[in-house]
Amino acid sequence: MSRTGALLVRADGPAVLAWAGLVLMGLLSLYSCTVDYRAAGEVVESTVSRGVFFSQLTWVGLGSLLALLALSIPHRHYETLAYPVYAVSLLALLLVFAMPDRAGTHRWISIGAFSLQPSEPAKLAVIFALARFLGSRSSRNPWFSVAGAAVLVLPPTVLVLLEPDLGTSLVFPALAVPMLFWAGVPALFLVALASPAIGAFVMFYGQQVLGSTWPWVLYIVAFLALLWFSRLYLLQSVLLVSANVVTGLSVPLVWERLKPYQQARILSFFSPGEADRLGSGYQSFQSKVAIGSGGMLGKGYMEGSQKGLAFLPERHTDFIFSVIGEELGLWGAALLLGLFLLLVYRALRIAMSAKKPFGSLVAIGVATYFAFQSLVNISITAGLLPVTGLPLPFISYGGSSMLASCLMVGVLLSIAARWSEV
Amino acid sequence: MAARAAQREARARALLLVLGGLYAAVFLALFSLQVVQGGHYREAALRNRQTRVRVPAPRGVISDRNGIALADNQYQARITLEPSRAREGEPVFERLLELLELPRELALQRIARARPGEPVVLVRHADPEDIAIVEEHRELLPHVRLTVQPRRRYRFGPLASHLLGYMGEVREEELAGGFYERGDLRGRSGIEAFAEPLLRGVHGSRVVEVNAAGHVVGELREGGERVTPGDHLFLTLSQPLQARLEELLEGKPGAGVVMEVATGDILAMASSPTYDPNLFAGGLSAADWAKLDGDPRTPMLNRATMGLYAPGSPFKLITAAAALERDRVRRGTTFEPCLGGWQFGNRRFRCWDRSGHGTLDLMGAIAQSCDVYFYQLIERLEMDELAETARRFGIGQPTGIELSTEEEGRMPERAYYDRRFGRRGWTRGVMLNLAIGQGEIESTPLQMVRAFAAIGGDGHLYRPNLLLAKQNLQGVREARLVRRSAEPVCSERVRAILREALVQVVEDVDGTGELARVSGVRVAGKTGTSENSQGEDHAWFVAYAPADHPEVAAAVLLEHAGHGGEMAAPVVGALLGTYFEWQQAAVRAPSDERAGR
Repeated sequence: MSRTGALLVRADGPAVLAWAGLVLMGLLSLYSCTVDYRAAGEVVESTVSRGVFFSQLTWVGLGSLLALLALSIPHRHYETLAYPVYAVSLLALLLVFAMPDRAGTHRWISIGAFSLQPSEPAKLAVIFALARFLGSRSSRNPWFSVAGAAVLVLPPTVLVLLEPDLGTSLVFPALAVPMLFWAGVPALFLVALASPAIGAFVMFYGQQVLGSTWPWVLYIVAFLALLWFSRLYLLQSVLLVSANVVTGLSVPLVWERLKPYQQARILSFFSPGEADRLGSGYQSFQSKVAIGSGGMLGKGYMEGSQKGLAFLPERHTDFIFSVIGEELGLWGAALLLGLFLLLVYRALRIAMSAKKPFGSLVAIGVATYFAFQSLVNISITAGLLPVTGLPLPFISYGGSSMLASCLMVGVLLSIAARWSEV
Repeated sequence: MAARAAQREARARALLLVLGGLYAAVFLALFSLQVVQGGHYREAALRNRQTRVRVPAPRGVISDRNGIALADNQYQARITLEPSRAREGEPVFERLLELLELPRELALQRIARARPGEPVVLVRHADPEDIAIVEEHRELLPHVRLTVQPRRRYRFGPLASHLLGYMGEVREEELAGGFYERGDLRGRSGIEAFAEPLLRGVHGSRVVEVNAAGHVVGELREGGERVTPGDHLFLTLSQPLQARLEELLEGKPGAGVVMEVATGDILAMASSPTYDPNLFAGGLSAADWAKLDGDPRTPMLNRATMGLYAPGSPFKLITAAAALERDRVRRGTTFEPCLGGWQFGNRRFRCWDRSGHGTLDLMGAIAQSCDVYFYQLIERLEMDELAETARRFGIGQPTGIELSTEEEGRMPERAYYDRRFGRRGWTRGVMLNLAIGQGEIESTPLQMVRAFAAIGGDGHLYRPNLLLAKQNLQGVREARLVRRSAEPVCSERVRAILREALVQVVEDVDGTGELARVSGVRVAGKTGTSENSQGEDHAWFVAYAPADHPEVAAAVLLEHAGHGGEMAAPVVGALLGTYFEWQQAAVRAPSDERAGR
């Protein structure tokens, strides 16, 4: 055991600290969700049962074991297993559709009483695959790199989108971008690549919020002008423009495919006036009320009224940050942000010092995972982004997320521990 | 190698910069939420969990003139338990069972039948003992709640049902004012409706803390608004007299009214058949309502104010007054003797007494109610002259009683007949019917009693009052005003003659109203037997007593009962008899209660 301990510390002490800190904050917050609330007249029972906390505790235990296991495996084995693991995760993502649905969604694989969301570990699998691909020599050409990354990212994105799970599906493309950047793809290139996404957003905003397609047309014109003045090669310009046009025009098609509640959520974010406080705008509003009313110092651990009176239905899962914001105030929120930033920073340092490209890229992938999910989840909770379901790693209640996150940490530490050996 | 490392470093710095920037942006957003807008959100959090709950105002009690409650409120208390604690073995549940001595089986049944998520009603109608126990052991019974719901109660069942009225649900358009909530009950007829603004009071409120499901979890001590209960209304009725009248009318369709001559106060008013307004208090099913409303005997009709009948012989007093006032006739005037009938044109008009009355003067004609006398008398009057006098006596005129609806009746005149039959379509022959109170005249028992009260009293028509006084929570009492007509119904001279005749009706040996006699009191009145197209004659008797200084006037109409003197007169006699018997005790209110005199 002490060997493991030494290994941990040698791997990356601060990262382990951040991990432990986050897990602890997570457990404390979850526990707070399960306590009864003392109201003006009497005690209000929490609708989140104590069993949820013990469940999470089990996941923490399991996750920690998995992390230690992952740590002890030399990371070159991960490189070997990258593609097979990726294939298995795709299979798992397909398998969900064979399972009976839960409330109209196919996100789970159940074996007996045990269920798992394959979309969570799939994130690690995709990181592995991307790292393997981008780390190999053949990815010198930026176009090739991007194309290869797209090929790897597209299947899981689509499969998860079909579950449907919009929020999680966006993680996969998000993982790819910094990894591409780290692999040497020029930033401007990535920005140009992102232009279809920007174009798509302009199309969406113009059509659904402003009610006109003219903004998008203007954008295309501006983009063309930009290309003209930057004197980009003709072929590439044509490709870029057509990519923009394609994505722009496919926005209405994708919009139709979204479920009404998803459409409503996104729309209510952009048009807060129409958002009824009791409808799709309800969660955002209640979350902001909870966080905002926490103030600088918070209402005190376990004392949150918005939580206690159940004004936020998802307070132990996607919206758990609102509990931290309400009870621990700005200082608690800052602490949480700080811990995530620490973890991400350490991952970046590990990426910098890792000798082999694979390990380095995996570290970037892990950093991106934690940064993206924490920033997006907290932004949603704070009302900065439209509501889509994305768990807060280590904090939100959920076994699959906890296991996946712990695995990520374990792999990261494995890279950190052995960089000097390879 | 070094270049690669440098490149890496550069990229790492770039990434860190971007990420650092993003984290900083999120932190700023949080700062804005929690510090800058913190106050705003704290308020919103309060608004979320604090809400105002209406405390309903107790509805005003309606009592008789002496304070005997006729309509009051019954409070149904319910004892409920939070669903999460409603289980065998739960300490609160067990304790509650023990304290209230609730049978376990019943309690479990109630739990099984409760709606999920809603508090379980363990006791539906808690009695004061149960309430006291729960209140006493409050600390030991968390999650137990006592809710109280008021329900209108008519303590004497069908007594004065037509006057008190009944309650019904507020209608959609009535919700606009902001006072009522959906499902509230309000007065729909009678005094309940007429005096609704006085009876309903002003609702209060209290501030409670609720959870997201809207369930009350606590109450704040401050911030509530006090309730103003509805006013206590004293009716002019005398409950015992009302009960006596209804007893006398039992089983006989018709109506009766007793009015105080000096003030116009209604001491009793009943219509038969009747119904129990308690049926409405808990909410009436559409089927039950349809049954009541569609009943051919029309129990919900107040025949005293809405029943239209030909006044019959009591109207002869008015015909006489019309002629006397214009000097067309004198008290001693005689006409052709009554031989049982009278030929007018090509029609023979009968007298009710086929054997005929012989020669009578005006006194005798009224006392014996001779029709033939009046057939001849009317020839000396123009139709519009008769109509004018009748109007003065209040025939065809609304009385203004404090009920939402009353029938005006009809006193026909030339214009009416012209309209109905055309200028050439009718003859003076119709006047013969009018003279004896038949034909197209329609009046209500209330109008008749008002007219006779005027004859017996000071010659003025008094507005009938149902509301004697209203009293608020502080005990401040406001009494009604007594209102009378500006002009008398006829001159003093004429009135004296009428009064003399009315005494003779009852006291004379030949008078038709001898069955209305009351021992120890001289009664003056007039019988009536009005023909109608639907069947047997209606029986009328209208009177006042004591004859010299009348205190009360009474009218009784019995539908299709036959002869007034035989059927209606005894009822009035019994009623007046009871009144004068009780006169000393509970019937009258102290004289300082009357305003305006």
